[in-house]
Amino acid sequence: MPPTTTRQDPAVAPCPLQKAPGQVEVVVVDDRETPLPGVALELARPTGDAALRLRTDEHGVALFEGLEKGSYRLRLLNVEPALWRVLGRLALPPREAKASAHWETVSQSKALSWTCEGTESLTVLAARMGVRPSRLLDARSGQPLVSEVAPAPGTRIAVRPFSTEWATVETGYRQVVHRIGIPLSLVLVLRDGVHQPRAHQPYLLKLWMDDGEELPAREGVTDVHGRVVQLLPERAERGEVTVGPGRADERRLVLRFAALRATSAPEGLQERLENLGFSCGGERGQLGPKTRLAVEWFQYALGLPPSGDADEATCAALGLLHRS
Amino acid sequence: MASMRLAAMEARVDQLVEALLQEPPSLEPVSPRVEPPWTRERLRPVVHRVAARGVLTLDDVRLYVGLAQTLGVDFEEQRPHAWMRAWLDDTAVSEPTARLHRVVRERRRREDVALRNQRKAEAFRLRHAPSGKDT
Repeated sequence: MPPTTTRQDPAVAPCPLQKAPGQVEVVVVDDRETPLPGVALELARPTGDAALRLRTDEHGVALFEGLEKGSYRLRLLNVEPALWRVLGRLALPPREAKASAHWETVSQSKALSWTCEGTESLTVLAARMGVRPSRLLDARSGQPLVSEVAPAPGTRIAVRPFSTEWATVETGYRQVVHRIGIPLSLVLVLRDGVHQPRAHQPYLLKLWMDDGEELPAREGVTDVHGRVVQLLPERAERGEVTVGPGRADERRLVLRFAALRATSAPEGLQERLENLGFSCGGERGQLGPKTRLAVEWFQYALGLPPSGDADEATCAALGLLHRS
Repeated sequence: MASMRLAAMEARVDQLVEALLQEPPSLEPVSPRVEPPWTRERLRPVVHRVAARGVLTLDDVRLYVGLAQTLGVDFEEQRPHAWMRAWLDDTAVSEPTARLHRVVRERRRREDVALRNQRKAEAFRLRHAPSGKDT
């Protein structure tokens, strides 16, 4: 009978050179389980004295390598605890080991504030700051802001402080983290021919979802800054706003909410021109005479030489004015 | 075994096609038809498509054929109706006939919303248009 041995016995303990350093893989997904790129993550030692920071790649994956096997603490950087949670974990397949990780000090939360330009809704600001809209305050008065109203230009927004929370994770697993989304809202500034806001004007907004479903139309009145502010469902793809019905200055704007292509691409140029009220007459994907005319009108409106060519200056101005 | 099942299915499809072709045209007011009257050659692939999904009773097949008649034989391939194919193939609902009925109900609901929006747009125009102008 062979002699009994224990794991503590130096004769059978694993050789330090063969010990595979641990790994923690994190996948961050949104409400529709689509991977989210560019999400900042922090993995700290249980003692809290050192941390590693990474951003998720284009597949929504961040891989912390070169760790000692064991438990660690994980959090999404600058995101309120109510807006993320660990959905579950899956065992990682064995991989080749990497050199030890480069540890840094744990980051401290910063006071967040923002001066509004009047074109951002509260939900957009909240999503940008990683907090729920109810956590946003008017920095001057200290009063909470109403989510249905877009803050007036120049309003200083502050975030009510929140405590950070960590999730305990173990090496050797892929953690699936859900970044909880905030429904976004549309803020559309309507101006007349002399660039004055079309204040207190009735409007009708129609919305279509990405599968073609039409939502019940919404009626409203533009605010004192000529803005249309409405919450949008996440899957909203296009919309149509009618303002000033039956009047000489009646406008019907066709809007696209889905991610737009670059301004250098014909579709991106046309989508932005349409959103800003310069009709391209239904042309898509090619710079036809109607698109050239729309570009010419856009250049004329901005005081650029109206050539009809989508040159670099025109594309840059279009991107700036469209804010995307 | 598989060939027997296939033969049974083909026989069932033929039976359904015959039954549908024998039916007198519906007297109920229906939405504008995009398809000409059915012929055996055009109806068979439509019935085959729905039967292959497991919908085999005449009433349910008639519902599907009604959709095809109103929207076009290839409605599942059309961009505005692509959601119907997704819903018909939605395995989260186990019963194929339940999927079909869900699609029909949802289509009616969407049509109602579009109609209400049209009326709302007309009312909006009448309410806010300057008086004395024919809009």
